[in-house]
Amino acid sequence: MKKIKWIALLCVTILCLTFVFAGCIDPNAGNDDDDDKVITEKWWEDTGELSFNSEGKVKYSNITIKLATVVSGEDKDTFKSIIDDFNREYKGRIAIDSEDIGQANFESTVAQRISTKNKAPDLIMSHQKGHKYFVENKIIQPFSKDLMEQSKISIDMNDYSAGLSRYSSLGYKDELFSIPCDAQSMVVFYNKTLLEEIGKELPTNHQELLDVCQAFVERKGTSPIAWPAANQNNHWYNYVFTTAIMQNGGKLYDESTKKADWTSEPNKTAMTKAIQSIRDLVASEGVVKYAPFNDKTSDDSSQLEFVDNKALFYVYFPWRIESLESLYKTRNNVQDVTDIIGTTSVANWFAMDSSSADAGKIFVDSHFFAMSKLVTDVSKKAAIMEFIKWFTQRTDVCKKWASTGHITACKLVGDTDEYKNDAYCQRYLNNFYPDIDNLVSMGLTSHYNTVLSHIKTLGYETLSNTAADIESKLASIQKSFNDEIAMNK
Amino acid sequence: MNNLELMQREMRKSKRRKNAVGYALLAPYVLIFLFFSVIPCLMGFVFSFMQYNPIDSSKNMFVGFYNYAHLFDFTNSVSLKFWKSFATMFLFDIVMVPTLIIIPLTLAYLINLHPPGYKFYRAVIYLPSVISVSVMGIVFSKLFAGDELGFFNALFGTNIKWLSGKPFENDILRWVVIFIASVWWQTGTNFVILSGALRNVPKSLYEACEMDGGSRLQGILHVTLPNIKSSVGICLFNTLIGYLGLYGQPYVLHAVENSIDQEIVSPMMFIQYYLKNASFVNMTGYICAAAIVFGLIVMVFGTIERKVMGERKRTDKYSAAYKQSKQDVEWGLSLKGPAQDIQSVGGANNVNSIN
Repeated sequence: MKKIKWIALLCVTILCLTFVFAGCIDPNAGNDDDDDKVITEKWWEDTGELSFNSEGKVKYSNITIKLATVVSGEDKDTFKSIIDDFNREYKGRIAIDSEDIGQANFESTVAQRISTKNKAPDLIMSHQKGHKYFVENKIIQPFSKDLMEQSKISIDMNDYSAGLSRYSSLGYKDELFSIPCDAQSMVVFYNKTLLEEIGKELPTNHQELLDVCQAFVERKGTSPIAWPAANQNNHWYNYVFTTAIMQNGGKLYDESTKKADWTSEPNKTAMTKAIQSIRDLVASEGVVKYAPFNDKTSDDSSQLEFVDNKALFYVYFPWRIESLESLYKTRNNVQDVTDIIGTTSVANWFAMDSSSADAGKIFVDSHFFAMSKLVTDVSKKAAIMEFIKWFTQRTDVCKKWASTGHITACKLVGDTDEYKNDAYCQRYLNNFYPDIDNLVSMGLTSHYNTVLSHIKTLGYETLSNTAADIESKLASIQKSFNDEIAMNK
Repeated sequence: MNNLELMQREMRKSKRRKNAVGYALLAPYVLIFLFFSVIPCLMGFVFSFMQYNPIDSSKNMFVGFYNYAHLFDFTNSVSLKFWKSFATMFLFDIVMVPTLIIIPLTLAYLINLHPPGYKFYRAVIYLPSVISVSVMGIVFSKLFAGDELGFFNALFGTNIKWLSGKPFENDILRWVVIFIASVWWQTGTNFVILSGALRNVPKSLYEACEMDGGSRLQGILHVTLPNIKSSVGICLFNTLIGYLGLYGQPYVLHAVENSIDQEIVSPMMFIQYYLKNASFVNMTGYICAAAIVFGLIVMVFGTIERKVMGERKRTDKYSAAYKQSKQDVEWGLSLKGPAQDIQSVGGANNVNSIN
């Protein structure tokens, strides 16, 4: 009996020591976020062979592609219509079976489905910010260059916006994991009549914006800008505040470490300028009293401020055009709003130095295509590439998709006269996004939630309370950001 | 085979049949408990010693107490969020739990006096308990909305930001609203239990107390409370455990979630915040460790509560005397000791009624 007790004691001691020593292990040691990785071991497979028709094109036979998309808002119907167009055109050869999953659960749902092989999609169309997470968890596979050569379906990243296509490798050297499709951000609608009334031109820089707003307040007495509600969703922080940071030369995170570096120069000055530029507008002594953090603000109430001619500018997503114009017509009893509602962008709105190369930047979300690791058949892979090429490089398709406010990421299309001269693009998109190369998205981090939640915290802490010390807030929120990254590596 | 063996076999068969029925009735609960509580709990315990990635298993590794060590690293902002959220929740519980015993008990006592229309009031008090936390959230967020459209702001012409603020900074009004909403919403549950308990207190004990010259307050202290102690214990235990897992009320009663601190005000919210988000997938082991530690804390609180309520199993002197005298009568003993005591406090009538 005594012997058993001693053995038990020994086992417990060994177990405890194992746990204690293992506790000294740092699981993050050597686990870096290198953006120049080389794939040493493939986590996907290639099976089957391509067959070709008499024209030398790949022959597809009833291939069904399951597409998981994040498109689930006001642009959903147009997207569905485009998919229907494709299915008609490729009837009997390729069929797209599309399913929309909301952004809030998109990454977790798709990752879970692929890892458990249950209802797994073949193709993913979602925001670029989530794709690094997919590749780091080996959820997606690259578009093979060999297969492109064999199938003669080439997709060249030089044909796409440089600001977006730079993320297509997702940090893996010479690989193509992710293909940009479009971009979208917060855009600006303005009231031409009201602008004329105050005798001002559209602002082209931050100072001019302040002047216009000041003149509007003096003349009309109401708040010049109707923002989206920061208290209802994160749109204001995710697009407007991030754009202010970009335009002042700031970086949301250090690209090599993926951690926040907000307290060392030149980023510290850039972040401070970004905060100051918004404070100029919305702080208590600023000109825009209708601040986005105001409890009174809601997406609907800010829209009403604009359609009721109380606000000069309305900042929102481009896909609201149709409903906005229709509401304006109804509430003001007018037939045509072409001469009343104008469109412009937030480019240069927040840059304290308007001559800076960053002044025109706009922070965007961009839909990218990626292929599930579970797709093994090369014919299916070719079919997926065929669809992506059709969706991103066909001018008529891009025009249709643009009608919901999504500017094409493909220069081959964007540079064509057909696209540029399209009535919709001329009236809206070209104003919303003046330079496609100035569109910046989240980039290569698998921690975009950490980035956005801390940017939101920083924005709220420094903008809702104008007395807050920017430097100390930058330091404390940066620490929280970096601790979270360190824990999550 | 003789008759005895046959009888024994029949008895065994019958016992097996009875057992089978018992097991069959138990099975649904046991299976659900096993698959949705025991197994996940065990898995969580194992994961807490790992860097666990549910999506990419190649990243999984055993890290011993690494996650626990990090949880108790108070310089780490993430761990600090956990402990801060615990402190917020704990402070709220200190106020909330006794309130949710005292108010229902008072109401139950008053209703038990059967004032006119007591049945109506009984229904009114219980009614809020049947609605879901989401409905409660909608009702109270409309009542306390921070703009002029909020009921109370409109009523008093104010513009108070009731539901804004950060923990330990300027969110006291938010917690006041959560407190009021919780009292309104959950009083009914404890009220029903305590009402039932009050009804079961023997009237003879009150009469004994009255005859002994006891006031109404003394009746409450020496008869009511000792007799409903077990029910109070149940209410206290349920309320305590429920409020240690505080989640629904702060989740539905907020105006603005402009910072992470505003979003995470209880350990359950901390766990949810990091678990629901796909991009925190590498923190799964750490979150499991946080859940285990939190679970242990809840167990400690539960055990303390049971100990405190269990050890003081004093009964009131009237029921003690009643039990003793009943025992004495059953054993045919002479009226001595406690029974004499009864005579002294309750008079002969009580003894007669026992007989």
